[in-house]
Amino acid sequence: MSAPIVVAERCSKWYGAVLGISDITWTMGGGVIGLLGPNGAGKSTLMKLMSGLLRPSRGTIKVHGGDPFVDPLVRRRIGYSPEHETTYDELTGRELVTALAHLAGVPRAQAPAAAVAALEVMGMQGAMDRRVKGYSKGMRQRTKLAATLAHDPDLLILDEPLTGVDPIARAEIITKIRALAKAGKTIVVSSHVLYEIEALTEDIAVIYRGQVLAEGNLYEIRRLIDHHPHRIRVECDRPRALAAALAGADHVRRITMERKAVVIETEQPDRCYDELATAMLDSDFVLRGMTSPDNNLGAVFEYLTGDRGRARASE
Amino acid sequence: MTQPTEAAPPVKKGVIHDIGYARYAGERRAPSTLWRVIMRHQIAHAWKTWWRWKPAIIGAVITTVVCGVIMYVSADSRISGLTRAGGPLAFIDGTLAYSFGFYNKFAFLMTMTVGAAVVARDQETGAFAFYFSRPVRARDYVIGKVAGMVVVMGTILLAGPLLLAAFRIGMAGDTKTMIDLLPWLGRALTVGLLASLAYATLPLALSALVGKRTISLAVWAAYYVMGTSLLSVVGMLTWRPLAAIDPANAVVSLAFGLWDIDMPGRDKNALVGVAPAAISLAAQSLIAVGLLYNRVSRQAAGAVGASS
Repeated sequence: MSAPIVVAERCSKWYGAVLGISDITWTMGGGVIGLLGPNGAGKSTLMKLMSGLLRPSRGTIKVHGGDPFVDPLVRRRIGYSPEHETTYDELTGRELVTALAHLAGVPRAQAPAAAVAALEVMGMQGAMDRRVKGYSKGMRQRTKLAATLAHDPDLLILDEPLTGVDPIARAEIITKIRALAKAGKTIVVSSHVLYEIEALTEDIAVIYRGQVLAEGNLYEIRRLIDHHPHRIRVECDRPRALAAALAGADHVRRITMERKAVVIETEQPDRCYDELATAMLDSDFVLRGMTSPDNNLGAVFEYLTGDRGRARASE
Repeated sequence: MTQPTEAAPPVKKGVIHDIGYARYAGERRAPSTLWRVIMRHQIAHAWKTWWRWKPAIIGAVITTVVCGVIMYVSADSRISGLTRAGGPLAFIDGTLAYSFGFYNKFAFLMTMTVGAAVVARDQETGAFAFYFSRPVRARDYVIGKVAGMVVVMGTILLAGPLLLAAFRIGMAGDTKTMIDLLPWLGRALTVGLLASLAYATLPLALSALVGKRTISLAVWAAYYVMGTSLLSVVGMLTWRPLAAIDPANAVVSLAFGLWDIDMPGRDKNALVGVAPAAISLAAQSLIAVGLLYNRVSRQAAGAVGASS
């Protein structure tokens, strides 16, 4: 197993009386990790702690084995893209990214080429000589990502990189981020929009009220919540008959009929899938489709941040 | 004997396009040199538009040319022979000291178009997040911004006086006079550097303290135009060195004191001595740098950025 990139130990951050992050102990390896949580949950604070922009009020946070707040050489290996997008708007995209690459330690002679390469990766080659103040939201996000990338950091920390961008730009940015992960970068992406994270990665950490409420693979987390009713939607030729076949099972909590489908709510999804398969084979049902509406971040997030989830998490 | 198993069909994996990302493999600057990057950016930012640096530069150039012409014309015997109250009117030697009054005005213009908004702008726009998430430290930022502003101010307050001093030396009729006039370069350098430092650091510190561009500009303008004038008046009425808190007065006093010139139209009572003027400019600059560093390092260690 590779060495962890980020290690937080009992890390807390307060802004005066306001709690940002509370007693987080968290280890992060490589790949793309989605930080998920509602507004004000502490995602940005955690990202700023990782970037070296904030010093923990208590505890420690290490990135690549060093303290990012103290050690500029650690920060050199980090690319941080803040949530806000106002910068030096009178500069062109090329000038801005060049200046930021230069600030990140790329020598003056190499900074323009590094900036152009990063802008090209982000698809900004056609607009990089225009002033940033004329850019659309999507172009600003891409320029920020290019600035994050230009000095070739190992760890990219992207705070809400998809906020406000149109669907086409969003899809393109998601593709770029995934490609960067494939190129060997470790990427932390935050969002409060669930499907954005879901499109990027299956590895998530759910942040809520300054704490890591859950972490790991989306589906693993989903399995951990075994008491949370799991819905399975089955489309078949005789949904009522299928409902009748499963109605007596003790793990089935509720069955809802739709026009050409049956939605089964169960507490034991694995057992339910087995029994569904048996019923299908025994009674010759024609299966047209089977989906699990709960196997998405929305359901996990809703459950974890709801009262039941909190009660469960505290057990 | 085991039978060869049939090869399993390849699992279809998700396709991610190779975007040709090439890692940057070149050398990296040492973090201790990043203040130079910030300084250069500060200078480039000031030069970027027509209204920031260029009007003040034009004003300084006009001042230098006019003063040069006055010095040249004053070398004529019909002018140099003029007297007042029995003493010679030393236009040729007094013009340089006198010119600082004009350079002051263009320096103030520069503080209004660049200096007083610099740090506040970075705070407002969240640019600190871009600086301090990179290997930049608070001291690199402060040194870079101060150095950049000193260079910018130096083009107004240092370059012109040095040119005039060189011009005056060049006008000397013989080698001995030329050698006697060489200290002019040192005097111009001293006044110019101290003035540049004060005009660079004071608005930067105020900008960092206020944190809002428009308010910062208003407070600086009010302080410079009214506050320091008030202090000058109080100083004249009570304890004269107090008037040295006014940077414009301190610069002019230092210049007139170093050249020891009595010019017509100049109220000697308004001037403070060389030592109070020099100490005031140096002390105000040091305090301003201290305040600036304190504010920036607190910002760098606190809630950086425009977002929560």
